[in-house]
Order: sequence, then structure tokens, then C-alpha cells
Amino acid sequence: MEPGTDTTYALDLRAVSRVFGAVAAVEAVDLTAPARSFTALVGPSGCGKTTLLRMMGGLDAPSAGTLRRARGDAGFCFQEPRLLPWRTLLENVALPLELAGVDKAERRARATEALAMVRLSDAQARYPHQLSGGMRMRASIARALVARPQFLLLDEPFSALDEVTRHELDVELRALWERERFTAVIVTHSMPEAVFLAERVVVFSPRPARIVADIATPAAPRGDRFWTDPALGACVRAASDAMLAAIAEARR
Amino acid sequence: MSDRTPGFVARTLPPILAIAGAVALWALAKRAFGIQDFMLPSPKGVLDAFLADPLPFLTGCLETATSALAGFALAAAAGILLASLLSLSRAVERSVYPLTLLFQMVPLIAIAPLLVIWLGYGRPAVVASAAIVSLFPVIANALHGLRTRDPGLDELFAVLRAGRLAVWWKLALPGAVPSIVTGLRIAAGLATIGTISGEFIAGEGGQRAPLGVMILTALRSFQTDRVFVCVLLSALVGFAVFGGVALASRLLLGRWMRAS
Repeated sequence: MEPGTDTTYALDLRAVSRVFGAVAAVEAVDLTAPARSFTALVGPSGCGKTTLLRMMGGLDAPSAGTLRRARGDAGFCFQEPRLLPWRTLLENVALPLELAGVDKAERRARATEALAMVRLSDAQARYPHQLSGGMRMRASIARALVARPQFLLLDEPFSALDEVTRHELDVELRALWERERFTAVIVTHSMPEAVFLAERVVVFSPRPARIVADIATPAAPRGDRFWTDPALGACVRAASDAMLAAIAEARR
Repeated sequence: MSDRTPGFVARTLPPILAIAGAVALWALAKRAFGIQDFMLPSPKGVLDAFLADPLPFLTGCLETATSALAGFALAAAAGILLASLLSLSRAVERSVYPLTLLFQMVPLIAIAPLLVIWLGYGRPAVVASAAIVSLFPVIANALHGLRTRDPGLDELFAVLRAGRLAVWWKLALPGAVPSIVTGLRIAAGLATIGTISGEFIAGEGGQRAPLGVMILTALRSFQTDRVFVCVLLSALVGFAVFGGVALASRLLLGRWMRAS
């Protein structure tokens, strides 16, 4: 099917390039993501995948090519939680609604609900500095989801967390997506995380980012046990091989 | 609370002893060198001068404190507003900021006569001089606070499609509160100085003469003891104004203090 003509695609990128001065960050990327899908973008660091995500979120625009996003808002999760230190968690999570002009009672109700979604109900009156890194990141996810966006874009959201917390949050995020079914795109450095979370792993070459592989992940249910599932290992290996081959080719 | 009492004593006792020592030294020096009263009155002489007729002094304190607080409030409001306007546009900041610097550089004593011409003798000119002296630190600190923040937060507000006004009100201003408070504390310290200087030139005498005017009156009649009373009371007023602002800012800063 011709991409861009089918309205079920939530994201439709055609020959998207992005140049910063003399540096090409993204080169001729064709990528489509169906509505309610979960896509992971992986690749060597500095390859331009974050630039791609920022363009999807409207924080940046392509230098060439077309990028179309279905109607609807996008929630964005950054690498850091980026909470406002003078606001309680509830006030932080309610921020997007506040900026959208939602009235106070509804803001409160929806922020409370979003905090419950990431299991932070008990901490809603606390300030960011009183919380662990994992809790702050969960609050940041709650804030990204509070306006019930059609899209959730995540830029290495858990990379600053310890391994145990990270796995925990991966399990929660995947469950959240299975429940809420927004269209999700995550940029990550961790191959196992990409395979665990997403239905599909898109592998990029070193800069400028080109797609070198597009791999479907196993359909197995995502519980804690999936972390040690051989199917996950095989998928990680396939994606890693594709990336290493692209790196080797770039060095040649 | 009881376990904090020794800490409190340990903190307050040394300065009290130091002040007592200085007063003792003052009395001793006067006696030892036989300094005359119009040059240096004795501590007891100063106390007597105050107790002989305390009401005008206390009225003077009140007058001076009121002017200082009014000038401070004016400077705080104008300073935060100006800094906010400057922070909204780089171009405006580049053109107007040097002007505010100039404002700071011109000595108050040089401007005060103009204030008399424009506002006449009396409180408005005095308040204006207190405000002028206090204005710059408010602007400078507020501007710094409004400018400096994590660019990631700007990105967050951009993702949420916040307008300029929303960014200012919900991000820049609350983020700048600690800096603004620093500026307000400096301004509070300067407000009393500006008031007394203003009173020297533009103050009105009479029943409700402020401390600055009382100093001049006492000076003209060589009542050095009364000058001393006024000087000490000016210091007290300065402390009170500064202390009041410091206390208020601590209450206001609760959220920010906890965060840092």
C-alpha cells in the first residue's frame, strides 16, 4: 500500500531529512506507524533518532521530505523528568491541562487519575525532590498522558535509572500501553528494552540516520518473565547484528 | 524546642557581649581622653537625651520606617515589572538595561534636588529617593532569575504549546522567586539608607519630623547627643525593615527552600 494514502497510519514520514548547518542528522527516512502501535527507534548514539522523535513531536521540522501526524495531541517524555520543583506532583501532572485551560476541578480529577495510572496516588502532595528517580520519571509519564493524547513520544525516558527500576517501569509502561492504546514511539539505547516494549524495532545507521532494519518483536505477553525469554534474546541479537553491520559499514 | 535553646543562646550571646564591650569602650575612651560632650556624648548622655523626650524620636522612627517601606514596596513592584518586560525581549533588554545602570550610577544626592523640584518637600520625594536607591538590585536580580533556567523546561512548555504569557507566569516567574527574593533583601537594606538621605534634602520638619530631619535639626544646634540618638534609631529602623522583609521572604520561599 502506498504510505500516506492510508488514513490508519498515525505517523507517516516520507523521505524526511534534517540538516543542521553542514551536518546531516537524518537522511531520507521513510517510516509509517499505524494507529495504536508501539515502535522503538534504536541506533548508535548521536545517530539522529532523537532528532527524528523531536520532529514527530513538533519540536523540530524536517529540512526536506514530509512528516504527517494524525490529528490529536502528543505527550512527550524527555530523558529527564523535567518536573517543576516548586509544584507538588499533582500540580506538576496537571500542568498540561492547566495550559490548555481546563477548569480546576476537572484538572484535579484527571491528574489524580493519571497519577493512579502510574501508581503514585500516595505521593500526589509531595514535591519532586522528595521522590526517587523512578517515581519522578513515573510522574513525568503521568504528565505526558494526563491530557489523554493520541501519541506518546518517549526520548530515552529511563536511561538515567538503575537496572531494576528500569525493568519495573518498562513492564508498567507496556501494560499501560496495552490498556490505553495510544500510539507510542520510544527512542532507546537499550536493545532489550526496545524489544520488550515495542511491537516493532526500527534500527538506524550511524549519522545521518537511515533505516537499516525493521524488525517485528515476538507477540509473547510482556511480564517479568519475558526479560529472560529466548525469543527476546533472539530478537535482540537480530537487531544488534543489523546495527553492528551498519556501524562496520560506516567505518569502512 | 528545648534542645535548640543552647543554640539560640550561643548565637545571640556573643554579639550582645560585643555590643556591650563597644559601649563600654566608648564610655571609657570619652573619660580617658576627656572628650567634650559636643564632640562625643557619653552612652548615658545619649540614653538621657532619648528618655528626656522619647515621643518625637519614636514618631521620627515611624515616619522614616513608613517612607522606607513605601519606597521599598514601590521599588519591588516597579523592579519586578520592569525586569519582566526586559526579560520578554532581548532587544528591549539590550536597549533599556544600560539606562537602568545609569540610574544606578547617578548618586542619589545628585538626583534628590530634582525630586524636590518635581515632587516638592515632604514624603513623596523621600519615598521616591528610597525607591530609586532600592530599584536597581531588584531589577538586576529579578532579570537574572527570569533569564536563567533549565532550557529543558522551556522545551517542555513548547511541547505543551504554552504562550509567552503562560511561560512567564507559570515558568519564568516562579522559577525566578529565589533570585527575586535575594534582590528584595538587598533593596530592603538600601531603602532605609535612601530614606534618610532623601530626608536630608527633601524632608519636612515640624511635629512629625522624620529621623533624617531630626539629625539636621540637632546638628544645627550642636545637640550631638540627639544626633547620636537619631543615628542609633536609624540603624534600628534599618534592621527592622530588613528583618521584616527577610521574614516575609522566608515564609514566601517555603516551597522553594524545600526544593533546594
